[in-house]
Amino acid sequence: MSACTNIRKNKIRLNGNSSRRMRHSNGSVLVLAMVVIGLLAVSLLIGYSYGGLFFEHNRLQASANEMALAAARKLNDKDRIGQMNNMIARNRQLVFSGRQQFDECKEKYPGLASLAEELLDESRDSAKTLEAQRKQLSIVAKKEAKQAMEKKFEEINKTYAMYLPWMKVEEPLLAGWQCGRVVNTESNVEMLKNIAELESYDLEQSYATTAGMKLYKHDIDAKLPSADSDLSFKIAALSAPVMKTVAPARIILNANYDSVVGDNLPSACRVKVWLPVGTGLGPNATSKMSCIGAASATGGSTQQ
Amino acid sequence: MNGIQTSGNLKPVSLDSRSHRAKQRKASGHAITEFAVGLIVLIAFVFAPLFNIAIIPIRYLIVEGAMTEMSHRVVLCEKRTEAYAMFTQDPWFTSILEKCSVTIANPKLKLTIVSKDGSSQISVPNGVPIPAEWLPDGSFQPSLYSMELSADCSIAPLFSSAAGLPGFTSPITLHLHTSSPWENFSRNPITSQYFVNE
Repeated sequence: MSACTNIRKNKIRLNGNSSRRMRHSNGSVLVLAMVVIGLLAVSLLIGYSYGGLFFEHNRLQASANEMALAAARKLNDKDRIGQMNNMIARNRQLVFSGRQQFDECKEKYPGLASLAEELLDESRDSAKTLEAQRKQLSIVAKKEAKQAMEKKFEEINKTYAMYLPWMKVEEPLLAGWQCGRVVNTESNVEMLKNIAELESYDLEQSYATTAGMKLYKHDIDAKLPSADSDLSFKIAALSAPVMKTVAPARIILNANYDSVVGDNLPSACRVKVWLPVGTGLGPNATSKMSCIGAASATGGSTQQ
Repeated sequence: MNGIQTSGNLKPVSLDSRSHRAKQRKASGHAITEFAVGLIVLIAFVFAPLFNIAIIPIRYLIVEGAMTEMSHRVVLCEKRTEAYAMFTQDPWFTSILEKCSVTIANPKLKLTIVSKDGSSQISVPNGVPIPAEWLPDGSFQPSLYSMELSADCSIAPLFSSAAGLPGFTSPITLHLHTSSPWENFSRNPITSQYFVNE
């Protein structure tokens, strides 16, 4: 009896070991199955993250464009750059005309020479004042454009933060901005035609285009001859009004943006933004998406 | 070691007997065999098809994004002819889709103009000038100019062959189109024409 009991006990013990082993084996199946499912789920999530990143890139590009457009609109607010260009061109004509009259008076009417000189000095002083104002306008326009761009940036960047289990999108960073011009765009000022000598001088110096509307070229310092060559007449690039059609502010291709020469007035803006993105799952890999937006300012208005 | 010597009619029992070991092997072996078969069935008939299909929406999102990006790029050109040139010559669009195993057929780019009240519209293909009444200062007072990009996109699943069930074993073809509003409404100072009509 005691032997039978022992056998039963041993059997029971063995059965217990076997069931534990079986449980262990079944447990492995579950673990392995979970690992396989987990790996597949992670790979799918990574795949969808790439799709999400593409979407985020498009969104970032749209934001960069919006910011550049906000800045560019402000540059030529109330046609200030267009008017400055026009005033400079007209003042240049006035100085040229004043010099002609003064020379004529000295030669033919010496009694009127002092009066002609006074008029010439007045126009020369105006040129100097205009040049100072142009520099001031450059500072003010850039400052206001920057403020408008930053305001737009603040509106936009709050909407970005996105934390998903597999992707972490943080707030965008303003990497930089520039003011420049649009390529192949001349100034908004048509060459003045009242003084034949000045017209021929301008053509000789290649200050103006010869095809279509004869516009003063972009970013030139249209120096006058001889005694008035000390004065600066800097004319900036800006879309000209053609048949009373004023060019609206618009987004442009980054390839069509160019920097301005010297301290000329700008008529376009370019903005670069970064968007830090990272993996929210597994190893913390981070990167920065980068987008550049460019926009052109509103063109010059028709002169009255 | 585990054997127990008995007396009488009881036979000696060895706990390491073959039958018991066979039972043990059978018990654990079953689990491994079942797991292997189960895993193959699971991967071959559940996960692989699932993965195969799940790649299609990802690729669709990429195609949609690429087409939107392309249509947005072309509307930023100075002239309409430049937009068409960019569409046909810029390798970015086709190369990015090739990388995603997406084949593009019949890509078309056309200008669509909608009148102010939305009652009528016109499509202007490449090389055709916009009729005078549809120009920005025309009699129809058009309000919306957009470049419409359309193409037949064959989006392949992960495991793809030439023939079979579209979406499962062969590419699924979708006709996609995106549009973006034209940006440049100024005139060319040399020709006095609208840039959109050049």
